[in-house]
Amino acid sequence: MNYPGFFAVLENLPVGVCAVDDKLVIRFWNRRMEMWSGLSADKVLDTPLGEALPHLGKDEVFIERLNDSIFRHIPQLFSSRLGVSVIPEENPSGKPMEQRASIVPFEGAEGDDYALIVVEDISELKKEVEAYRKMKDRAIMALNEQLKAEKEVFEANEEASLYLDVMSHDLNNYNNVILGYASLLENYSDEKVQKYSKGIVLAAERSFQIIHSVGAVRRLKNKESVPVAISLDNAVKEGIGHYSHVDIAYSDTGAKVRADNLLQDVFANLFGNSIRTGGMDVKIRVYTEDLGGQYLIHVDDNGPGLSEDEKRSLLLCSGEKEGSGFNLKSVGLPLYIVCKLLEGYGTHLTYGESSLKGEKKGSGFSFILDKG
Amino acid sequence: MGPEITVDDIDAFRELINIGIGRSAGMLNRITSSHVVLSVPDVRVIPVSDVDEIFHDSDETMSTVSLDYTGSFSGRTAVVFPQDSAAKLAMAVTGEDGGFNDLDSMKVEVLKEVGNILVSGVMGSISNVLKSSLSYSIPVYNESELRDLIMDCEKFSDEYVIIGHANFTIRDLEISGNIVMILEMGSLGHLLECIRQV
Repeated sequence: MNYPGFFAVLENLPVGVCAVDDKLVIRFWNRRMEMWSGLSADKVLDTPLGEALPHLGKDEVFIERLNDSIFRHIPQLFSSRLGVSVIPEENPSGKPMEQRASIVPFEGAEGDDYALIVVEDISELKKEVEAYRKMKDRAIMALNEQLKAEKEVFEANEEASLYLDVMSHDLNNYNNVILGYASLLENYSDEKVQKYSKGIVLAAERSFQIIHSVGAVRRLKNKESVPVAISLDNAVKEGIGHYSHVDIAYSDTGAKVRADNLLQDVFANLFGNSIRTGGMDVKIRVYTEDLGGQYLIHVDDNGPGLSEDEKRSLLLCSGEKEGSGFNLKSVGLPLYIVCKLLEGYGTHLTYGESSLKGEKKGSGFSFILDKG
Repeated sequence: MGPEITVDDIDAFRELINIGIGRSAGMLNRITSSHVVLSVPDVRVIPVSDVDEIFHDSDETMSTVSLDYTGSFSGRTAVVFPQDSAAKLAMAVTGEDGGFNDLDSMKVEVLKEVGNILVSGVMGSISNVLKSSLSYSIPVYNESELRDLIMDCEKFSDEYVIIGHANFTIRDLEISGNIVMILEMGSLGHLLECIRQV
């Protein structure tokens, strides 16, 4: 071979370059090959490749592929991961080198066939990939932990939900028994007995309502329904139906509002709150005002009204955000449910003066719903 | 089918591919130390304009190692793996265990070598049979859809292409793949002349 200029360029490349002829005799060996292998060009030139690098000479697949490159001109790629390292693992640097090798065929000036063996050091790439793999493994482990924790929370919720269903069912059974006995007492002519039985019935109905409200909270969590046109009269009457001995005044309006089947719970819980503050003799009035495209709905009572703390907390209801201070504990379960349901309809609960104000100042709740 | 291709021509081409992939299967067997099952090659002649439509459903991203060649006939030979098979194969041949079936740079390096061995096997055998010298590009690794592998072959200026395709499976390792040979129709004419001279 007589390519001094060509080989001068190859001499100083940052990759190892070796040329072999069609008898697999080494014809070129650059400086990088000398450095990596510890074999000088003087020593290996004109030497068979298998003699200079015996591990390659013994590798049948390597030799077969080298011949494919020389005689059939097919380029070949090698990664030392698959077993063939052109530079032996025990090299002068003392460190195993991760290599990528390519064999490229070329034809000499006289039509002779040669192969250029080009070796690259990809140890840095290997380190980067190993670091990436470790990072990825850690991320996947963290993700798996999170998924496991989420699964456990889901299962715990399912279990709690089951307990709640069973408990609600059993409590309602006992409430029914209490209501049964209380209705027997109502048949007595003694006024005191009748008054006590009314108190027992109201307490049982409140108990029913509390259980129902807890169910409503759970339904709220899974609520996906879109507001539709429903009858306001039916919703109010279904709310009233939860309390048999409470004086609740309402006149049919024929109004249709945009809400869903949980609207009755808004009324039942507002009534429940009035009973909580005003006791069993409380009077309640429900009425509406037509605002054009909307209805303003009032629920007033003649009870003692909300405490200042409760009013302050309820004020936050209209602009509720995380950490605003409005929560279940500050306003009690009934009003908490009302606020959450109204939020779903895009409206909020306001508190003002009651139309039933008398000896006591009463509570005046109101909210707006779009016409259906 | 293109106007100048007969059923006998297709059979001759199929046989040529069969010889090539037989050698490749032998090499794959040596690398993986597992039994490799090959299907009978399927050969189709299709208009270039229909490639997109015909392979419209094969929109899975595949790992491919392809080798382009020019000479007495021109085309592209590629080995094509579904990506999970590609990752499994890379792990199997390097003896790595565990980990996930994704492809990082080191696994791609290995896959390029395995793909190179397989396509060289096919082309080496064909060169042997035809005693024909071709000029090859450096093998290229890619992640693409099958139709892109065919359409990206810039040499296609003819109306038709001929696609030879064989499926192989390594049951022990749950790995499958395809060896695909794509030729211009004009090239096929030269190729068939070479075959007839053998």
